[in-house]
Amino acid sequence: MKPSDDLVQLITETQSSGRWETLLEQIPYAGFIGLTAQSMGDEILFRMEPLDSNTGNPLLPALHGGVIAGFMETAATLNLMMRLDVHQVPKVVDLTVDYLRSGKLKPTYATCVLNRQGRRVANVQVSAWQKNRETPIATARAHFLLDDES
Amino acid sequence: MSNSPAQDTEMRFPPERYLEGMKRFIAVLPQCQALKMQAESADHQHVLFSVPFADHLIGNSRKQLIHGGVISTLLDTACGSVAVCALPRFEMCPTLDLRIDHLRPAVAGKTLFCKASIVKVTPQIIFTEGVVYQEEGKPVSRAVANFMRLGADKIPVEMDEALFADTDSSQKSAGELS
Repeated sequence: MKPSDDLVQLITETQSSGRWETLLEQIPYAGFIGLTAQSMGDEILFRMEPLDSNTGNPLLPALHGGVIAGFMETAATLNLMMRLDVHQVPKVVDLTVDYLRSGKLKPTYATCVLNRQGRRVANVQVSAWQKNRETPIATARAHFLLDDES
Repeated sequence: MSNSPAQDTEMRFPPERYLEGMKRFIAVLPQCQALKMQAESADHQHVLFSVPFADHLIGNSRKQLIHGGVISTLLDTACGSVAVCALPRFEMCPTLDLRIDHLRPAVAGKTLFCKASIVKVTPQIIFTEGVVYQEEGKPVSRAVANFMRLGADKIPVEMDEALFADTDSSQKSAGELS
């Protein structure tokens, strides 16, 4: 079995079961920052636990901006894998994060919107919030290469 | 005040003292400790930071690639740190935005380095840029990051003194006293 077949099967299983554990095990960094995911109908809700190690500013305390970026990039990648028939992990080309509010040391959520899906490139928008969706702590957009090896 | 021209950065100390300051700075940032981030060199316009490889930094197990989040954190920290070094006195400088281009994959097993530089310091905003590499001359990612200045008056001067304390001379004076 080619690795890509393996991956397709893993995504198909996650899509049908709604259980993310096996897929997330393929991304050790997701465990490092305490990322989990939950399918809610057509939407996927990503969550990052307020791990002490995710702190950037210990005085406030506040989440590290780089961790927020890592969380949003992972959410965008997983969202694409679940939405599209991709046969490999989409490769992030660029990522832009706007920091709107300081991230407190509490659970952080993210949802994604697929702005455009081309044959080779996709544009994904991510919003991360803590209190409610209307007051995001950060927004991001990223471009992904979908089929780099063909 | 708001119409005053952009300030040039001024070298306040010899580079060794900036480096000591940056080592102290990242030692108190939990995520940087979790990544075992190191300050390699620093002055008033540049810093060089590194993150050694670890298994939990992998983003793609099949291809054995380091996750982009590690690169984001290294860039945000290094660019934010050089912003602090460029100021006449320590201020809190939250990130306004971070824009990253991923030029080539970051492979497992190798240390990541990030060189961050000051582009411009203005009374309100600090403009920086950074490049991440594993081998010199082969950039993995490049970034632009802008930071807000919250004002030196918001921070006790003791914090600046503690951050950039001159350990050599304080040890020397302690030695002279004894």
